[in-house]
Amino acid sequence: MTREEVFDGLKEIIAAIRPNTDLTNVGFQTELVRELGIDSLTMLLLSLAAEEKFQMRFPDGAPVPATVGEVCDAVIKAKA
Amino acid sequence: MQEVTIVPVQGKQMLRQFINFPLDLYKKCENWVPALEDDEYKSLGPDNPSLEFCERELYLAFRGKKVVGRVAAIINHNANKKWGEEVVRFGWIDFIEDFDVAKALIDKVIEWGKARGAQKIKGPLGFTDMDREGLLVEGFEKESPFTVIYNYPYYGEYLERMGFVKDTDWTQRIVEFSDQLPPMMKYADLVEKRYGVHLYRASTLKQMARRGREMFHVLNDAFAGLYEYSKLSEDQIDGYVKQYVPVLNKDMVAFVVNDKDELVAFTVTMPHISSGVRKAKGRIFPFGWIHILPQLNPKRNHIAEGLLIGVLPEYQAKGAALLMFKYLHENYIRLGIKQLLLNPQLEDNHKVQTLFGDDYKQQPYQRRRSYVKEI
Repeated sequence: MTREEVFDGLKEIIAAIRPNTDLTNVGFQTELVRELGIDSLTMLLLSLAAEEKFQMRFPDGAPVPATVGEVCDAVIKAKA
Repeated sequence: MQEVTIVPVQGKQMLRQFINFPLDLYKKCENWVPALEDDEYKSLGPDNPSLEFCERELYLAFRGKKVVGRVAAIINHNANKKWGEEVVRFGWIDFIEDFDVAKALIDKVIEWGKARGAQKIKGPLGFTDMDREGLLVEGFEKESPFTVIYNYPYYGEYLERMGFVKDTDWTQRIVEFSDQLPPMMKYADLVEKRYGVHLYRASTLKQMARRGREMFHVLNDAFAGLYEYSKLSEDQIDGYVKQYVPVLNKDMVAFVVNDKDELVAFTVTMPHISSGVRKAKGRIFPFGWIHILPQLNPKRNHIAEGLLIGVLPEYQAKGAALLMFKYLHENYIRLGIKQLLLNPQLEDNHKVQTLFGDDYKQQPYQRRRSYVKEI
């Protein structure tokens, strides 16, 4: 699975959890908290939904990603 | 003008004067709501289980024969030990608009506290977190829930004139519940699957009582690190379970249990009954219930109060709140409840302050303050 494919999948998840989030200019460098306003509960749901969608599991105690790109990388690493 | 005299409360008649003083002081104030009289007698009488670990003295202020103020001086030895401080608390404070009266009351609490080794005075606080606490400093124009303090604005001005400063603030918010669940609620099953938790629906009073008892144990763990918290004793828990669980509406209470059937999180809400309690003057019997009963029916009362929420530390940030509020929101839609008025929450308790995120419209309601002064 490519980074771009994960990126598209994550955008779908964020749009489903928080439909009002503006995802027009979202890129790998977009910061989850500062730019997308993602709070701790949304982060939790994002990670659970990503696990479901990409059929993987984030390791317990993994560092909390700061950007969309870091989430993509964490998904790819967890699937490896 | 006659001198202010401060007299310790002795006997039933003076206790009645102490409890009823605010009814007179606030009789023209539409936003003030009395505490339930029965609760006040239980809290201030000799059988309060808090007295196992608290000392207290109640004082009335008089000008001549007229009661012009009241205050409770309290030392919670458990809290002082836990927080490593020698604090005397003041609570149940009310006074007419007269600085000399306020100062005389506070001076008496300081004198009483100093005689017992206190180095700081804090308040308004109760015996424990289950009592009314925090002086109203913002939102005087709004009706108070009956579970919290309402006071005139001059209280804070007088305390500050005496040298008190802010120790902490609690904020209250009012949250809108629309007729549709927010999209995030679709993910509740993922939370359940991942963390092995699920909602527990109590259907009998016995089940409610069992979970109610567990609830206060969760509260002790969840609140352990919060401002001035001291653990509720088993006797206190017994009292609260007997007093409050029978009146809870099971559709307005949410419990989350783990796969061992242990309670890990709870939320208690109830109809907003302030105007009924005010009309009843805080007395349920003999006829006060006539005013309160209609407000307990959510179909006739579209505002709920969020009384308590607690999540075990090891289950925090794991979506338990999502399960609880999905359940409550579904019930609120069915019952016609449109707003939830949250009880005071510590302003620096980030987890609870961000509970509803952007998914629910919310606005500030009132702000309360605990003051402190070195003595």
